[in-house]
Amino acid sequence: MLLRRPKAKLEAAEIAEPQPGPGQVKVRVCACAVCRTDLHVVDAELPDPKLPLVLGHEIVGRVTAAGAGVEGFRAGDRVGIPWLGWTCGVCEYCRAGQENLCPRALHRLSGRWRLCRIRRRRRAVLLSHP
Amino acid sequence: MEAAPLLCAGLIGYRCLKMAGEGRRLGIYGFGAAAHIVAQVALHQGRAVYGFTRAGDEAARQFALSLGAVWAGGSDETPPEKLDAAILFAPVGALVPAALRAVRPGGVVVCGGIHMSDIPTFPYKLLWKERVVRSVANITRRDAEEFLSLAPAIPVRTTTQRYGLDQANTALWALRTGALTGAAVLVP
Repeated sequence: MLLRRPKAKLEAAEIAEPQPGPGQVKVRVCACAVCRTDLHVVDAELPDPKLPLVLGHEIVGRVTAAGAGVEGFRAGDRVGIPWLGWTCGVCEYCRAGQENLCPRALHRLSGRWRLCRIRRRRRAVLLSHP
Repeated sequence: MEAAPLLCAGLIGYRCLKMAGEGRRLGIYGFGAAAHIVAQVALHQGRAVYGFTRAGDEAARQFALSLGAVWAGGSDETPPEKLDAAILFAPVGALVPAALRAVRPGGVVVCGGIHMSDIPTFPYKLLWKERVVRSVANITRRDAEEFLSLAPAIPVRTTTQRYGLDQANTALWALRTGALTGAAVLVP
């Protein structure tokens, strides 16, 4: 479901299935909750949405593939994926355990209201192994 | 499906709760997905929860009471006793001075949303006596590890309404109009 322009209804669309790059895992979405932040994005109340955008950031899914260098996740793992997409890992906030304040943080690399999702390894949370 | 709301509503709620401090009397403004999760954590910690809903939203008021809130009322109402802390999930700036009125001296008001309408001017006396207003931005990995260990131990039960992926617009509308009880969850 794509948001093509602010304040528009979402539209069903076919999207090419992604493949995981280095440090990424591919996740098949099982469920994704709807958050008020999604409404803020639709209503253009947050800056610089990367349109067209697939919304959604409260996901539970299964890892289907892992890219090079991924450790700790394997196919079949049940994972959770929150809003924070990526942090630099080297700034003063990241080094102090306050990576939520990282000035380079990425919050929605893409959306999750789709069947498959690529996620950087450090920002997926392992819920259970198969 | 029940776990999905934990990944934002639950996690943000948990961080808000940490930022609210150790006070026992906790107000929660906006009784939706995040509130219904954090209320369970707060009760587990032995706190008393006061739920604030849209004025006249009887369903939300009853939802708060059903989860164990000691009091629930409209956001324009005054709780029966001063609060130690309040968490705002409703993105309504006017609730900041309202919450400041509701907390005791030294109390904390935590704004949990990523966006909020403008906060109206308010007299300094609402902030004086060491009341604190702060925001929460996102979560840390540590928050996630703590909360996702704690939630099943409590155990947190989420109230969800299921929508198919092709019903995403319907789910958004339900959230926008306050028609949801708990959290909407999309499934493929």
